Amino acid sequence: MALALEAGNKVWEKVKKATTSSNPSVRLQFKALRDYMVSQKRNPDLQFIAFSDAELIQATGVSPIAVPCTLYGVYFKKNGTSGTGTATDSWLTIGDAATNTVVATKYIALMTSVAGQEVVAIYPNGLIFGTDITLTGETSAQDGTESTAGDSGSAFIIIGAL
Amino acid sequence: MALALEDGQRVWLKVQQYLTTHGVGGPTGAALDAFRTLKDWMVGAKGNPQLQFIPFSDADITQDTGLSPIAVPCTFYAIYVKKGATATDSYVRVYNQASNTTITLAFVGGILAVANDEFYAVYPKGIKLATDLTISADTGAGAGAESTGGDAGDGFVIVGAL
Repeated sequence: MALALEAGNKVWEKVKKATTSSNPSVRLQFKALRDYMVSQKRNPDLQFIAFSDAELIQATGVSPIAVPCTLYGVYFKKNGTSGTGTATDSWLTIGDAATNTVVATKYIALMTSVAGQEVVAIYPNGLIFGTDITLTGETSAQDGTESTAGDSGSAFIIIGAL
Repeated sequence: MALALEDGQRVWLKVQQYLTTHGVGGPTGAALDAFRTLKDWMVGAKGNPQLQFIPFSDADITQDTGLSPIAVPCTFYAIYVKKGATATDSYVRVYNQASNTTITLAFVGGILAVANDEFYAVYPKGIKLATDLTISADTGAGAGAESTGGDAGDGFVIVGAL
């Protein structure tokens, strides 16, 4: 595996499609990131990677590229719709390692507790993952115990070269 | 202490003022636009709820056991933080407890790794912190070992009633 970068505009189109049914604020936050990166960061080549709940809760997490990268944005939506679905806490964690077992390099942890809950986290200037990037749906902020798929959700990340 | 909610428009004005006046080099346009779009959505589709703007300094969030400014439950909508001038890792976290001692209660977290790193996370519909709100900058993946002030960052959170 490796990075599969493509023109930024193609990635932003994928982001737009992926957030079509998301909260309007989510769409606009990624539009704001796009506008900034296109106009101020020279529209770099990027990679859009989407994840299902089944991928996020696989043993030791999902490591889609197996190389270092720079993370710009992440979106996560817990399964279910408002009022219908799981209310069991689940964290999306993102670590700088090839698995979810390295507590010391879990750089990001975002908790969801209500069905259909959405969260966006952004590093407009990028966050370097010097080893690898692994995402997991976990039962806590860093315990390495994968959630059940139903308690997790779907996600995508936007990454670029180091 | 308690929540000190005020008209949403006043809070959004404080957010705008903070983001246009604060920090080395100032926040990115992406952050400015992200919070403007969050405002637009909450004003237009969430009934413009009363909110509280809570700014914090690096010294605030590196104090012993973290910063707990309200001592009551709340709904957390967003955090913005910009790192100081060092390159020492610091993990900024939002805990659902009255201190920073329990990592399993760290609901939102992101690392600040490079000088002037900027990180923000947004829950458009909020996430309930049913116990309390504590903001802390920690040295590592575990909870409760506060960074030095210079390694953390300044920022703010936006909260509302449960």
